[in-house]
Amino acid sequence: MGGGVLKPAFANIIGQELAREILLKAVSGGKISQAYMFKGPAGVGKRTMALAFAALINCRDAGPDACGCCPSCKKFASNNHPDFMEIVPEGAAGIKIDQIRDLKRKLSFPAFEAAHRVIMLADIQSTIRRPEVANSLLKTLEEPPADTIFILTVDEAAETLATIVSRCQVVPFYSLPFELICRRLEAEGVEPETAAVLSKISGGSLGRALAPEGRELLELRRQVVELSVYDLSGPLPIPELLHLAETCAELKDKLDYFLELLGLCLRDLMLLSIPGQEHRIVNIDLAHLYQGRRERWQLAELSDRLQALSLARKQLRFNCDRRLVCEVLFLRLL
Amino acid sequence: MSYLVLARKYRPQKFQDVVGQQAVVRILRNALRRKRVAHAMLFSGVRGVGKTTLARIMAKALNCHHQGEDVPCDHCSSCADIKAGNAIDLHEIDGASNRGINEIRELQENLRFLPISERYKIVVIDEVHMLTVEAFNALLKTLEEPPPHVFFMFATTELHKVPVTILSRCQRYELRRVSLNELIDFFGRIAVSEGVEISDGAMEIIAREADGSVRDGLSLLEQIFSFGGESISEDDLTQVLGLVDSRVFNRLAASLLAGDTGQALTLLAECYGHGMNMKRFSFGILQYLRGLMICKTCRNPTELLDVSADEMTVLRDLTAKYSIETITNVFNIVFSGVDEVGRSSYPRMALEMLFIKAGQAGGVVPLADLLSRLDSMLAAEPQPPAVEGAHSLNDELPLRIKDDYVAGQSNEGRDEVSPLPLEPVQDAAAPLREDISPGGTISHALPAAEAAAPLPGKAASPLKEPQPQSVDKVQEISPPSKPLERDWPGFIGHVKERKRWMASTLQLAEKVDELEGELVIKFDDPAECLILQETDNLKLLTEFAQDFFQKELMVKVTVAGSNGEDGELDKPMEERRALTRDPVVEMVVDTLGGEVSGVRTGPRSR
Repeated sequence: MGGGVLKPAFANIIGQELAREILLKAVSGGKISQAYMFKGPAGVGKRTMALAFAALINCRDAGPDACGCCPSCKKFASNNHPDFMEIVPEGAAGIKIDQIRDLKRKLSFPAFEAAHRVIMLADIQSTIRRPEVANSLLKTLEEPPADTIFILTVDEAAETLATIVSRCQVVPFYSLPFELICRRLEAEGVEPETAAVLSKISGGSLGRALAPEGRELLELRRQVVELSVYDLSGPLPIPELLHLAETCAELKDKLDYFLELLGLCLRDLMLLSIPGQEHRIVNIDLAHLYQGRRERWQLAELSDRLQALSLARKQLRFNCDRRLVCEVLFLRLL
Repeated sequence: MSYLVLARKYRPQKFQDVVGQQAVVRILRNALRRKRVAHAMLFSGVRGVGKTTLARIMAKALNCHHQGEDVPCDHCSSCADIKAGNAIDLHEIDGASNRGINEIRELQENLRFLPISERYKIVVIDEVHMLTVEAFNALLKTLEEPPPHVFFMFATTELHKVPVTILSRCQRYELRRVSLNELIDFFGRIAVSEGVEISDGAMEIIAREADGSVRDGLSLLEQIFSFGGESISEDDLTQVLGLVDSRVFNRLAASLLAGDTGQALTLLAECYGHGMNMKRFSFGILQYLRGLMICKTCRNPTELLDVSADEMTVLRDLTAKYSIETITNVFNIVFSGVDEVGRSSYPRMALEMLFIKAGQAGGVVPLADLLSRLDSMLAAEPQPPAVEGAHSLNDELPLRIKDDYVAGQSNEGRDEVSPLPLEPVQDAAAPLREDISPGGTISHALPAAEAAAPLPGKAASPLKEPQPQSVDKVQEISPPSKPLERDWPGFIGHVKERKRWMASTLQLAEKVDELEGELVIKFDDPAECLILQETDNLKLLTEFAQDFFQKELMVKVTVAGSNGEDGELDKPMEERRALTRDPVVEMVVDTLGGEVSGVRTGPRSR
């Protein structure tokens, strides 16, 4: 992710004051729980925070943040601390039950050197797919060996097994403010206009704004919107549309996200038809295109299109052919 | 010793300490007292109500060195071993990790031997629902007739996953959710022994959040303890949990019901700025709307709603302003969208769209109201002729009611944000829209019987009844009719009696025209008319046509856009223009005082 080069330390985390406060108070009060669940939108710093927290509680220097220069911190920075384990999926089916069994065996031995051994399971909504795996964690999560800390990160939108949540302290993470993301993007060398658009449509997720495919999607989204505000006097732009559908279908896993971006455009249009809400639109670069559409369509028609969009996303979830779904959707968007 | 989380530190070690579950505790204690303990027990219930705890206490009680009423004693060597988790005769198995048949075989092998240091061998299988089917079945015989020195105890959150054959061999204990008061009581004791001061309101929030599960509450309590330090206030909790004040929901519900979308969006933005969790927020508003519905429909809403007297008055005030239909409508819209909000990677945007949708819905006029208005209208006017009664009524109703409705509503709301009055106008045009063909004729789907004897201007008749004075005008404007198009439904009926499939294909036809002795049937989609174009079928169809119309007609089946003569009209722009200029449309616009807001053509128009 974007923060890969930074040393794991609280100082390098953007925003998330509440989570920071909860964790730092637990450290200073000596009440570090055995299991944390970092819950919040994707790409807002859950993982970064987890690494920083792991580094901090193992730091040899008793400062308020990980010092970054003691042996432990250096090992964290170079990502080879022997007592920091991240369980990552082996293969496409997510984490396997054998990996959890293996973890348990390892946990029966004492830690190598750390004061707090940290086990991390990131994005459990996608890495732990099978209920067998989630259940096999339960007993260990409830009564882990002394000084072992579990950190689970999970996407807010996902449903998590209630028995897992109940065993963890849930630390809430929130979307980041627009300005912070924008500033960070500019620091990364993105030109200001693009940075503004990217951070607006990121919905407060730095990960999303930094994602490498972001600009490509931005361009594609502009094309779709442009086509759907075609010139009424000319012929329907069907061939271009089908061509675009094919391009979109090649987005594969990103398609769902892309459709969500299109949904944002529709949302903007809906907002425009409500007086006094113009300042809320997020696709600021498309404002000139909206003008034509706004007069043509009314709210009811827009919500029809929105419905078509959510239908398309549903069909994608059921593994319908991506290209067909895109074609049908784009024709409906006209 | 390192820091132990509250849920482990305060895990009950004796029957007296167990929170709630009095019934189960009593059964177990009496069983112990009378030496009637079943050899297999199964504890089920939601997370954190005491399943594992009770299994462990039972294990202790069975092996306690102390003999008497008050087992387990919790200080003999056996109890201490179990408490420390190193009792040699207690097999606590994680059923979710050791779920295969091999693990069960190994266990059975082990059970044949007598206990090593204590009286009984006790097997506790936690999360037993995760055992495989084979493993369950391998267990059956042993479970039914275990050696006298063995006790089985199972714990599970998902009882329905345990096979019935296992269930029938066990004594089942279903643990209930712990009540709010018991939780508050228990958490209060913990707060005292941890030396933390906590306000009553905060305590109640924690207990409510726990939702009947002790462990959920303890996890939260622990977080709050480390967050808030020595004294905890409600503010700490609202901050950590991202809770929303119910007053916000009130304002939000009010603006949604009033259709003031702008206000709703502003409120949402405010909450978002305060770091509210959008998922929780959407459930909150749903809950509030539920409150409104209950308040509107129930005589004693206080029984169902857990709100203070002040909040109740607020609820009542709000409900008084709106009909139950309006509230239900908004509730339904929000309800159907909440799921999507939870799943979206842009929860805030999804919620915004939901609010816009809800705002669009606007006020709903109760059906009974409409009917009574209709009744009064019908009473005021002479009954239409008996033959046409049924049909004309059908065509006339939507127009008249909506017309009336629009007139009543639009005066005050037309200038502001009010998609509502616009919609009925559109809809009112809908029945006509479909039936206006580019040629400028009306082809109402009159039943065959009527169509057999067509009268000029008859199709427009439903329109003339509401306003008798405009009869002449209608007939004037109504363009010269082509009997062929008028009779088209009749013809389909005719074909239907003879060749069923052909009739249904014909219904898909886009346009029918009579041109110099040719009956041209146009289709939009080449696939629809492929079979019709076969020579045999064409011949048959020609026969039908000649029979029905009593004319020398040749049938021609074409695909739209394939021949040149209609090329111009096929251009969407031209077609649209022609449609807006159509005399019938103009007449409708004139009589109803509306305007053409949108033109939709083609089979996809809804």
